[in-house]
Amino acid sequence: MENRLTKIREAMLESTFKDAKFSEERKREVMDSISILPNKVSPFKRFSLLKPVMNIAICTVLLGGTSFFIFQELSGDSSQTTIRSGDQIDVSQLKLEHTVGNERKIFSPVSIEKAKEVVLFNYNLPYYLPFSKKEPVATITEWFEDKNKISVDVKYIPDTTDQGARYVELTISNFPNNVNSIIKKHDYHQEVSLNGNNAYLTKNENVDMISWIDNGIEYDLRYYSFKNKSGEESEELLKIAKSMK
Amino acid sequence: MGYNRSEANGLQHISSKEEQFEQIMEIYSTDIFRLAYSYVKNKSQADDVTQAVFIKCFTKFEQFRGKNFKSWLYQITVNICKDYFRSWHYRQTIISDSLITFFKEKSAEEVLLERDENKQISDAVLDLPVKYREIIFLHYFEELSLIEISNLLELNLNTIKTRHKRAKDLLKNAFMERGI
Repeated sequence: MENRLTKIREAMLESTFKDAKFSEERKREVMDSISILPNKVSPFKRFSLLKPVMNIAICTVLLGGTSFFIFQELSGDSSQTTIRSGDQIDVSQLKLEHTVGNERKIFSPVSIEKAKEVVLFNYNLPYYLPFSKKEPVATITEWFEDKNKISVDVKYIPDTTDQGARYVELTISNFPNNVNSIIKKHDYHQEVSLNGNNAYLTKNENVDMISWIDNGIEYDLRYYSFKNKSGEESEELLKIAKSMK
Repeated sequence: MGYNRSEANGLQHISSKEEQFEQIMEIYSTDIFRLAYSYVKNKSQADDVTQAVFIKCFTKFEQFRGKNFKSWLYQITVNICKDYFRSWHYRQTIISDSLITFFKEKSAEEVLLERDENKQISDAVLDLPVKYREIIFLHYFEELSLIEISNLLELNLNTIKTRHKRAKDLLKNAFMERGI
């Protein structure tokens, strides 16, 4: 009986699954479907999707009598906005992309140079990457409840497909975010020293992660690798992290 | 793909996200298709499920927190398969397929194939009730541990162990009936 059980995989591969795979035609259908998913939602439909949120917003406007101010805030009319006292970001140079509930504002991606200019706290970016990359862009998020809470998300993607299915993603936050949670929950595999700070390494199937705090700024750096792995992803990740000073 | 990953990233750079997604589909589609097939036992329906899995994966990409991408995809697959079982469409298809199989005369090639031991083993697994089949498939085909199966199916480990034992008993009987 045990022999038969251990033979299940081989037996199914040789019979039921011999020529069975997800068809190329269906793959194309998936790609067609996703190409119209997020960025081609009409403004009207987007409004209807956000209807519950908008209902709450309308009530707030009516009750508070602050409709004009809130409209300006949510509409992303950048020409009217200026740097606010205590803010960590100059929104006048950014365009609002969308809001996530009443939690976050997400701005349209900008170049990393522009991000450095509009984000008013200092942070480091890597000088080293294990592949030649496309021009990276930064996506900036601002939290509603505390305008001083900002995160910057930068993704580095290889500029040619022959460099493998891999990319690097860096999230920088100026407030206790993911890294604090990782440390608190002991949710890491190894603690290492990184440019004078403690850093926390985690290795999973397709991603190697390293997180640390430097001068009150949280860094969450991830190296995603989906195939043709070199086996040196952790070392490469550490090299990228070390180049950030 | 952390929890604070920006959704705008995906919206604005749809082309790069699509490229990554195409690679993801290339890597995982066969595994997802096989898992789906083990539930629905029909190529066209397994295609439907796999398609739904990847579309869901794309729309929920921001929710993946980088723990184990394959497990996350498997979890989506299992949930979609179970939803599919509850659907009216599935029940109708099952009835029509059973009638077609009942009336269809088997070709000489099909008769020969059915005598093949691999096919017998595979069919014995696929004929198990779904709650036992999923455990046998995940444990012996996907080579997941019972703990991993318990996490994937979100069931208590003892339940998994009981079902695993019962599944093996059922399979043993099925093998005997098939003379293998």
